[in-house]
Amino acid sequence: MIRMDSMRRGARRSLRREARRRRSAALSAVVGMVAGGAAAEDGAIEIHQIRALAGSVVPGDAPGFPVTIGRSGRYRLTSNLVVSSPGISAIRVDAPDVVLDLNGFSIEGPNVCTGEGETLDCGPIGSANGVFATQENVVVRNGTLRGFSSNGASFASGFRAIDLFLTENAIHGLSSSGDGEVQGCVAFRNGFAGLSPGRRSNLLHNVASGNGTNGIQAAQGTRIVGNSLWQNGGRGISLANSGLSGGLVEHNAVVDNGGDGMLIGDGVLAISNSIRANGGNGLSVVLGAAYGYNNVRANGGITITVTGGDVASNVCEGNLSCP
Amino acid sequence: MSLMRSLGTPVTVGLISLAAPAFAGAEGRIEINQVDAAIGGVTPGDAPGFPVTLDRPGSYVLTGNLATSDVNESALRVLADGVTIDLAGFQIEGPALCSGSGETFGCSSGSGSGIDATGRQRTAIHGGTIRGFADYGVRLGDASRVFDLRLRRNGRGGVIGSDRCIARSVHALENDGAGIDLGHSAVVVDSLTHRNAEAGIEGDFAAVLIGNASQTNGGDGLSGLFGGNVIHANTAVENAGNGIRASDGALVTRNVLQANETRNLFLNASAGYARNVITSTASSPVTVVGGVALDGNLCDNGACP
Repeated sequence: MIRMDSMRRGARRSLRREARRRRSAALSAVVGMVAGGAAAEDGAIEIHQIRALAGSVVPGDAPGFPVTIGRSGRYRLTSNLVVSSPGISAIRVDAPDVVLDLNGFSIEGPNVCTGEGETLDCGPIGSANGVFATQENVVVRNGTLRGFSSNGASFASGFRAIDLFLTENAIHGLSSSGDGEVQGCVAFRNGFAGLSPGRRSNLLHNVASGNGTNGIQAAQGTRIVGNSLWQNGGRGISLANSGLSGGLVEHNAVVDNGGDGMLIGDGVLAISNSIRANGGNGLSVVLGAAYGYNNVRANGGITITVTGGDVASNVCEGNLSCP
Repeated sequence: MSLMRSLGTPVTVGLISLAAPAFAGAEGRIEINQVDAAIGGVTPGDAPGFPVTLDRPGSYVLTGNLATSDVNESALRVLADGVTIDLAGFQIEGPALCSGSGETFGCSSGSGSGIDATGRQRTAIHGGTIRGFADYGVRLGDASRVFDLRLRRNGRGGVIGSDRCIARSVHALENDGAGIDLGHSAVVVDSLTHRNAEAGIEGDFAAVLIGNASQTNGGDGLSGLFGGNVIHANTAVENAGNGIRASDGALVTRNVLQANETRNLFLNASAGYARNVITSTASSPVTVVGGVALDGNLCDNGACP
């Protein structure tokens, strides 16, 4: 009995400690939200709706959107950000070497898309991005970028986009002018391509689906591995530039897209992909591209458009005699 | 609401409602623990007790274990798109009990799930354990993600999801259904499914299953139920069904399949396979049925039939 009483007292003390801790944490959060400009204990600078509207997230940041990040460092969302004007980006990054942790929150603009894939309508195109990074080496992770009149995320080179949901943006889910890494992202129902990274990028284990044009619109030297491309309005994957393209397209499922399953350019190796039931050609090959171990099946157009690029056997319509 | 009560002043309450939902802690995330669940008000529409209803988009974090006591009760119910739940290393535990093993394995029946996000988009769940629910550990809607998650001994399965979902580093163990069961355009990577009553991993059209281990499940190890699947670099060992089952237009490469009872590799006639290593046993004598053999397959140290 004495031991039970002691345990109950201990439990009550624990609850009181928890209540004190929660009051303290909540008050700190409120004070921080109202005061603005404070950094978290780990040094990350916190961004939330009130602070965005107040300005001075970092020196030089004017009140309202976009929040302008003009200094390298770590930033973290502590609330959803909602931008109501269709022409304004949410966050603009004008410094290199910035890590922006969305912390599970969403950055949302007012754009809305209806339909999906070939029937998708995302309204008028504008210039607003969820995150617009003008400088190199910017990392954005763990959250949603939705409803902007341009791209969900727009990067320069050296970027990383990790574990993002990118949807209902009027142009692309993600776009970049240079190389970067996209991993674990779901890009769906964007007006044009789901993922449109610049040259020499690395796309790993993403889903691009229901976008208006291509699932992945890639450029020279890009590596595209282990992605699912399903029911996009255009091609599943497009990796072909004028002249030499180069790149690796491996272990992707490319199914039921409105255009060709895949277009690969000069110097691209497409290997071990499943290309099935796309509306156009299965594998559209520019002279100089190579392919092997692919399964190309039940597409609307030509199974493989060019002969002679096979570096290993492929399965075409259920047998090994590919064109 | 409990926080508002404890803070007490109208001014502070007003600031909280303007700046953040109730219970916003460090990093602005809404905290959930057993006390919050009992009191209610985690989000405006959340009634006292389970399920804790999350009816606002945003980021939530557990600050303690959660335990429910009714097999028909879910722990968390997601009613908004764009919800992230960080279990922060904690456990969500239901009251369902499982017993037996192999064909006699079974769990309590009921309708309660660990986290029910049916019909919602952009749910992300990570970082902890969900066990002992009579329904699924996790129910996902469209375009959602689970990662760094352990799902154990749930009555209908570990996680079931709609289309466009990603599962990464999910351990689904001893669930009385499939371990990981996702819809079209699923990506499942680096996950472990072990001793589930049905399939280890299932995906539909355009599923990408890479780098997983599926062992001793009651159904197939890995299954691409519709077409256009990519199944690569997995192990499927001692499953009661097929080691790998793949459909029309699928591609199955570089997997290791051993001692799967029904068949080690069961393929639609148009599915291709290459560079797999397949080992049969007396109780699992069938190496390959169907499919189109590309090069490099090894069946019982020799050519595949």
